[in-house]
Amino acid sequence: MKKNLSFLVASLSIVLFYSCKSKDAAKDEKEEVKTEASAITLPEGFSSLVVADDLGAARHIAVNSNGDIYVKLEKLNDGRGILRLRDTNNDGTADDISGFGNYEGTGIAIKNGYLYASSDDNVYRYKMDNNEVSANTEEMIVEGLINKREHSSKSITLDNEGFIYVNIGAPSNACQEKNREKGSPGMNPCPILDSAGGIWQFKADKAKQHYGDGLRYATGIRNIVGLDWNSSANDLYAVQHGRDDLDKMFPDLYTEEQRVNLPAEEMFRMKKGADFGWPYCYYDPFQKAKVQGPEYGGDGKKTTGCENKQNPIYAFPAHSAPNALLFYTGTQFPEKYRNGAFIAFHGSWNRAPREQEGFNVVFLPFKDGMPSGDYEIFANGFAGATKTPDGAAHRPCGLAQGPDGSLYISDDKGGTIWKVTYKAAK
Amino acid sequence: MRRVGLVVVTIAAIVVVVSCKNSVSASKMEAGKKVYAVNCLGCHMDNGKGVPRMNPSLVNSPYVMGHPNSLIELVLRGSEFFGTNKRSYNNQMASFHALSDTEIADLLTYIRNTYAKTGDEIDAEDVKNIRAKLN
Repeated sequence: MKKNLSFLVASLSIVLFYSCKSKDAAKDEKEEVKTEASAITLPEGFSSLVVADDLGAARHIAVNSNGDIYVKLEKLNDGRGILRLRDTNNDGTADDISGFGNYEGTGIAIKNGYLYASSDDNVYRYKMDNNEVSANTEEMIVEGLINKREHSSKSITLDNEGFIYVNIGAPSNACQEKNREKGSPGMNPCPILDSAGGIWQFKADKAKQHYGDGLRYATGIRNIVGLDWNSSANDLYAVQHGRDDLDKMFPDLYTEEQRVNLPAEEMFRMKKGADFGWPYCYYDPFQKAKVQGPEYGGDGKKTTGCENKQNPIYAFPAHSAPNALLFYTGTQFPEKYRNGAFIAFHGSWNRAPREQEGFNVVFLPFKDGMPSGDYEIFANGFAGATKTPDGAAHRPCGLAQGPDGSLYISDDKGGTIWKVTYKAAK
Repeated sequence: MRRVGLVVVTIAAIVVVVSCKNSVSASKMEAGKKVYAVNCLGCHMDNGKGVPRMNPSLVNSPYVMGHPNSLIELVLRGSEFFGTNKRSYNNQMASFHALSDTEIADLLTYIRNTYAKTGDEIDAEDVKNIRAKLN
């Protein structure tokens, strides 16, 4: 009897335990499953190789002429904010990893014998000597940029005339008096635009420059993470993170469906002095027009005040978060890729509760410096089973071209670097 | 003997029911879920896990599990005045003072019992008192 009773109590305890176990907890365990880093999909003829994994928040990357990969980290890895990945035995994977630069950030680039990198406040450069960077050559070239956490990444690119371009994102969604507060009106004029919300141009070789030493090259830009100097067109191009929360801020004017699909993520070709409209206007890809933001009196249709704002040269799905732009100049990939643009989409969050977008790398063909067709998904499968920022195994964030024309992709979620190569079928 | 077994089963069943019983009213949870969907889900996501480095997770968050008064104040004032997770998350949470006392009470009851298991309810009266103190 005693035995039976013990059995009964034990069974009931088990029932009790499982009946009370949270369903969410079960779901959490499922979400912990990561996909294999190598499981990205590519067009026929292309293949990928994992160069390195678990590096931490790998933001932008640059590849040197000897094949060394420099990775800018958003969180320090063992005190290092920049990692150098070297493949000493030519098997394609990094077997010698070292680092320097004890600051966190996003931007990194190589130009004319210097490595450039940015924190969220400053831009630095390092002399490269015989393919070696020594940390003690660190020189601050731009300092004291606005950093209020929101949109604080300082992405960089360089032209061929000695200038560096730095994105200074607006620490705001739509320049409301009270940021992201329902119904709060937009400030007019928006004071943020004096020191942020645009691209600034500085000299690439001058130390300790501040705002006064630079030029506000383009304005009316909410936030850019992906930008690249296109040498064949001799112009600066960038892809914007568009505004959020239209229906949350103005529920009488916008539906959830509209918020999910508006505005487009805009690709810009930038001439000096260009104004792309933020925060007064946003681009509606369905009306194919810049329309007035609701914080400034807009109703979703009016274009008041947007007449002179510059339109994008291409419109991508809303909230997909383009985090890197690269114009491909190599000869390894087929002809159609030459001078076209690869864009890494970090993946959306502001489409919830609808399905999220992005988490991929796309290709946009170009001719004479302008898009010449529709984009196609080039690399996919980064997220794995759960296509959300939290559940995704990997989030594409950086792009770089190797000396042999290979494409490198970085991921700031799983810390993976992929090398993508092409081999024509025989 | 059989009777003893029956008593044990009955007691155990009561234990199961009592231990699993959600002391929070279903209608309050339902109302809170609606407020969450309109005001919070866009940033904190439907699973409450937020967006890495941008919007914090609510799941077992110390702010969610902590004293209800602090959570009420956070929602009424927004994160700017609170300094929450300043170094970890890029986005600030706006003030939601425009929501009614009942809406905030329902919302926080829902959050505390969905993304943590506090098992308690927040009353509109609590929100009203804290709002009065802040004003």
